[in-house]
Amino acid sequence: MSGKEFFREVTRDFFVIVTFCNLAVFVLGSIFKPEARFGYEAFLSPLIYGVLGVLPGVLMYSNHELKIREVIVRKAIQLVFLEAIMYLVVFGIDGMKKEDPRVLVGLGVSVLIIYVLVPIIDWIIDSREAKQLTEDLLEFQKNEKE
Amino acid sequence: MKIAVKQISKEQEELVAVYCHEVSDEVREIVGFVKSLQGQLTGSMDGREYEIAITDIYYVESVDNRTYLYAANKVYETKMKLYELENTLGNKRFMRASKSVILNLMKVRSIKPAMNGRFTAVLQSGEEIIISRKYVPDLKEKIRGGK
Repeated sequence: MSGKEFFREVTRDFFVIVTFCNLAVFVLGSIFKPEARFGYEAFLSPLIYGVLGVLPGVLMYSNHELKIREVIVRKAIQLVFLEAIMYLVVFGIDGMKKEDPRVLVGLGVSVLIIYVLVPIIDWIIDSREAKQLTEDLLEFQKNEKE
Repeated sequence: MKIAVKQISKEQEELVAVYCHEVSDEVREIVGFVKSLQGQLTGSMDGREYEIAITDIYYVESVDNRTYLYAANKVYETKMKLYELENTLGNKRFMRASKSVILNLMKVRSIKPAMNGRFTAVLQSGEEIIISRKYVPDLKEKIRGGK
């Protein structure tokens, strides 16, 4: 995979992560801190989480085509890094209280859900592209036969 | 080996001749290359040699420095290297699908997504070939003609 392709994928994943982070903050906030009020700076949080979320994606970069086993191992390591980064930021930097075990679990589950949803979204986008490629291919075959 | 090219009149039939002390692998490669330019490849199966029409080939695969031609239900070995075949077949509806495979686009039934940003080409024979994402732009360029 070239650096350009990798950058394109990371950018795509960034926006998907930002969208889901917004959703996760809404759901978790509504459950655990419904009374909380924020300023405009709160809009930056999903963007920061988006950047942090794509950072472990570096683990998926490779000059050669990864084998399925390599992909699975790297994905597992990526998830561990991702969970560690998010816990560090949310409880270490953002100063969220970690006494409530529901918050701890809620964050871990949210990160996991987003981690699973991102490749699903990628898959849906790729499916649409594959459908278009198939249509173009059949057209190509028809033209070549004529 | 000396090389001679002689221009002849339009009335005479064009001919490629190889004068050699023995029919070595190198000579077979030269013959195979010339045949490939004429729409045929030489492949061997069970010790016998066959002429295979390029249009009958589904895909070409290189495994452990050996190159195989896959037809509908037969597999032939060829003396030609993958890069040589890529040069020969590249402008004949074939494209590189991965590091080790050249694919005949005319034999692809559909394309579906595969893991990690790759695509899978489903052939008319039902076989599935992975298209590395490195070669996806080439596929688009080939079938869309730069559109």
